[in-house]
Amino acid sequence: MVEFSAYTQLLVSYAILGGVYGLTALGLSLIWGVMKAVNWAHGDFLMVGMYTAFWTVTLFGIDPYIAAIVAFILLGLLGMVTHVIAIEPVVEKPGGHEATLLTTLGISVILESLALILWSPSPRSFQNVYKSTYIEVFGIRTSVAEAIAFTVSIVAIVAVDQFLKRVRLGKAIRAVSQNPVGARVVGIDVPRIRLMTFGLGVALAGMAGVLVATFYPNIRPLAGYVWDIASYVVVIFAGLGTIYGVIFAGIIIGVTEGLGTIVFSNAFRQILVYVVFLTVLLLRPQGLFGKALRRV
Amino acid sequence: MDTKTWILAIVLLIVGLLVGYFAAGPSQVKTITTTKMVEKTVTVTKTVAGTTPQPTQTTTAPAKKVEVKVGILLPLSGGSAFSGQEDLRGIQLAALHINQSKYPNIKFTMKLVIADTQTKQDVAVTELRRLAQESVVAIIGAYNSAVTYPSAAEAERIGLPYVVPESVSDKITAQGWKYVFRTCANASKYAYDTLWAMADIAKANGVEVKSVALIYENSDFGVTTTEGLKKFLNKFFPNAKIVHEESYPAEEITSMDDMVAKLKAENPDIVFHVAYLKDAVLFVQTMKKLNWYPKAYVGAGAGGQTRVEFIEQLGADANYAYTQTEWQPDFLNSKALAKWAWINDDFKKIYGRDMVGSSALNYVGTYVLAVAIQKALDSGANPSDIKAFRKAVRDALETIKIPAGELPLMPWGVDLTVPNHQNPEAAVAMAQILEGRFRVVWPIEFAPVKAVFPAPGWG
Repeated sequence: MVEFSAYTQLLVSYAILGGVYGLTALGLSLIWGVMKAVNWAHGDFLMVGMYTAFWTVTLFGIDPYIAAIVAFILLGLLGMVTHVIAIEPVVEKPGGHEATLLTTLGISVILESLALILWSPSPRSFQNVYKSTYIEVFGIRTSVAEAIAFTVSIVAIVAVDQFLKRVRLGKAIRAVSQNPVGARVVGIDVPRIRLMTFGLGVALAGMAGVLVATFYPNIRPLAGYVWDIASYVVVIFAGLGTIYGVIFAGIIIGVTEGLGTIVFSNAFRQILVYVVFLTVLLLRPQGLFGKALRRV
Repeated sequence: MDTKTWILAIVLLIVGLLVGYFAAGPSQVKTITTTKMVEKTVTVTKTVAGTTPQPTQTTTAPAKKVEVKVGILLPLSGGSAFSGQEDLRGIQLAALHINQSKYPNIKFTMKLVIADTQTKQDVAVTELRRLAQESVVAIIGAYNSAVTYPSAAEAERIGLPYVVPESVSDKITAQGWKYVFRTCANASKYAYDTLWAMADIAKANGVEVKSVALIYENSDFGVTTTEGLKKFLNKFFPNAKIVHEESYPAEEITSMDDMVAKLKAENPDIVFHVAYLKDAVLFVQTMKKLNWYPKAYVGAGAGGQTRVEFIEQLGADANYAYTQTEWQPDFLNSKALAKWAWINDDFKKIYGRDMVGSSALNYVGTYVLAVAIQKALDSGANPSDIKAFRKAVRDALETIKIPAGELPLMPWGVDLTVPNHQNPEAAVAMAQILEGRFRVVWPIEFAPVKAVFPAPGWG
């Protein structure tokens, strides 16, 4: 049995992991909140972010956190292209939101297959000092890579929130989210806002991919899968479109997962998460933070 | 949804699936034709000329050889795709050598018909049926035990010989199937040899083992290997207790902090870990993060820790980990196996690196099947009567007995005359990662280096 003092360590470890879940879910939440569209390819964009980190770090020898900026820009562009091809043509049609599910599923298959063609199924990783350097505070130890990923998660979530509140484009995104017809009436270019939102959501997924790749092994074409599942759970758990909600939901899910495995066993890892998840949905169908926090 | 929406969605899916088709490489029953093989033969032979001490090298395929189709069932996409690709390399090299007449005892040409299991049981069974319709005389496959088992059952039903060169689950050969033959060791044997190795290494280093922990991924592979470890533990470590046992879902795992914390609290002398690559790497990373290392960390089952990527991903942190190993380039330094170095040389010329355990095992499985097919041909069986020929190949497989030394690459031999068709001679060696490379440390009498036990920890 784990000693009591070790629980603090584990609590922190799983809270950090949960924070990263929050970051991986942020882009998904944004797209879902604004466009009411399910981006089935979210995990695959995250995977492309991982490969972006791998290639920029190994080819150019640059710091992985600079690679995060590169991934943010590249994936943002990729997201916009995807939007033009697969989202915008269908999103306003009758049943368009369901159609986005299908079109993004197509994008998902394309991305995974292209990754297989281009980079083969062999797993890769890149060495970085951050994952093998540790910080210890009050006996609680974590790798620098995980600590940075957690910090960036918080910063990114605050930044996105402030962007939506203070920047003109962000305010327009909120307007479209709340009332697309009204937004159009007051002169907001709704398709352009959707384009920017999808681009931003995918850019965040790409950045999350880089941060995950700094400490999590195995960059491969199906690497986004595990984070994809976590992201969907976090977004639904938090409430569709909530921004701060994803970080809290992420941490709650991370800690719940940790408690399930510590107190019971690994077999309970998912059971406990889904029991809590279903309970929250039964009691609060709008998600845990659906009303308490601002909808985007 | 209107018509345009549906059309767009369907077009995207079709494009995705088409890209997937090409991405999966030789997955969807592509045939490697004899012509292609011959072209490749010429290239390889030129590049390796002078390094291959084998007799009767030819640069072109003999004109009147019988061509026999062999079905390959491997995970070339999906979760185990990278392992499947490695297996395929071993099989293709063996077929290449057979078609180059590098084995004088094998006189036909082998045509591989390759199908992708996608790491899925139902797909494997469907693909096996398709291969059967393509008139293959036998199947080689299918890497994942959980996939091999149902597809082998289907092969048995059809009457199609099925050679298993790598899947280890005991139950595959425990059914008394007539058409299923396994050339590698089963999970119990892996477990037996692993414990034997660690007991010998502990004794040689004067270390007493009082406690062990068993952690394992929760599919057939992990469960059956761990059952074997539990069965034989006290035979080799009479005083050792299992202080922790836990399974986990390898695909979904995002953190192993809890498991390492529990192990750190129990502090077992040896941790036996049945893992795939990702979870093996994550586990070692977490051990370092929580600043704990047992006296010995042993990769059991040779799934993750035996891969070169394990060292590539962990760097120096991979040092001192043990792993079961079916084959290492170290083997070719021994007197008995040096004569097979040309195979690995050819592999290096084509793929730029040494073979690994899985490619070597699949090479051997293909060779054994080829010997059986040749026996069937020699007995007068007609390959155009596919049903009768499959039966003849099956009958020939049941008579296969190749002594150690005559089997390419491996230090062991093959005996498929036993009732369950489980090769009793297949064995497992133990390697330890030292200075960033796999070194064979057991059997001690053949080991070029001495094992470091206990491991020095993280320092």
